Amino acid sequence: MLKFRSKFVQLRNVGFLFLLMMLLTSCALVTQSQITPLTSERFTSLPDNAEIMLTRGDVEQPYVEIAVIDARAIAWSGDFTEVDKHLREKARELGGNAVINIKYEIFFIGSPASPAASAVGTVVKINDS
Amino acid sequence: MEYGKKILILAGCLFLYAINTPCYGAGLLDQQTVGVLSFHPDREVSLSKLATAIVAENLAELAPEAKVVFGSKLQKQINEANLDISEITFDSNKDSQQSSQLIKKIGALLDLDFICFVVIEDAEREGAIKGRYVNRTRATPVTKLDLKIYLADAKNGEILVEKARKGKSSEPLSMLGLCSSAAPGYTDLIRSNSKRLLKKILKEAASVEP
Repeated sequence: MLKFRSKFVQLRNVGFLFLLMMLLTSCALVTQSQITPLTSERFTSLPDNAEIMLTRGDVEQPYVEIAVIDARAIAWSGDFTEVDKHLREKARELGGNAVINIKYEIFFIGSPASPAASAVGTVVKINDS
Repeated sequence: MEYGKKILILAGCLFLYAINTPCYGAGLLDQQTVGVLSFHPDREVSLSKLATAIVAENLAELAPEAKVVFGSKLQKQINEANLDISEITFDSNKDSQQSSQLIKKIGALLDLDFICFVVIEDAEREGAIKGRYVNRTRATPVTKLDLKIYLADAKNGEILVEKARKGKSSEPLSMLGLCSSAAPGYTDLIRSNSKRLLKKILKEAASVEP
């Protein structure tokens, strides 16, 4: 009886550890993106404080298309804060001052406990002149 | 010794396979200018641009002797000439005379020999929730994407080959986000699906060459 009980405790501990590991790794969604260039032209990166416009639609001003960005990030509260932050960072790196025609989605990685946001948008450089 | 023999046979087979692998689009697209154009529902603008760029990249890889062009400049020229790609009917049952004329006009305008049309349909992540509301009872990490590619002869306006693929990414090997960085996205899906389609298209197009 005692042997059976100690085995049960052992199994319970293993189960608990497994669950803990799963929960910890679920927090480890890597914010990531894939960039597909739309032009061979290279643009100078913008400073970290440069303002980047994000929009689901198009803009009226003339612009140059730089690349399409396909980004994913964690979205605990079901919003797009993290993925938006990532879009802005990448746009600055690519030298764009806006990301337009963004298609947003919320999906789950494996389970509803891990909501993630996906965004596909076009990085552009709007000519301010 | 047994293993040595097996390895030798395997190496031989691989060599034979390699030398017999068809050179996709060889001959047909050599030294030809191929324009990659797309049209799409309004909500899929970025996805369409993504597909166009990836198809152009794959086409350049599969038919290295072809000159592949794509991008917003082509689209701008088409718009300025008041031509509408969406008027092209890819349905072979319908009267294709008008489409044929339009393809020829676009070809002449952009100085193209061939046009590769990319069409994205109903692109969405299966079960995805749009907007800011999260329904936590659904777990759907699968990306769905229907991709169609048409290769047209820009000189005579004829659509040579059309291929479609209903793409669906596999579930990521994850539970509760484990290995979540492997979660599939549109880029991967379009890259693999368009390559498969292009291989078939180029192979078939080479055989229907007049």
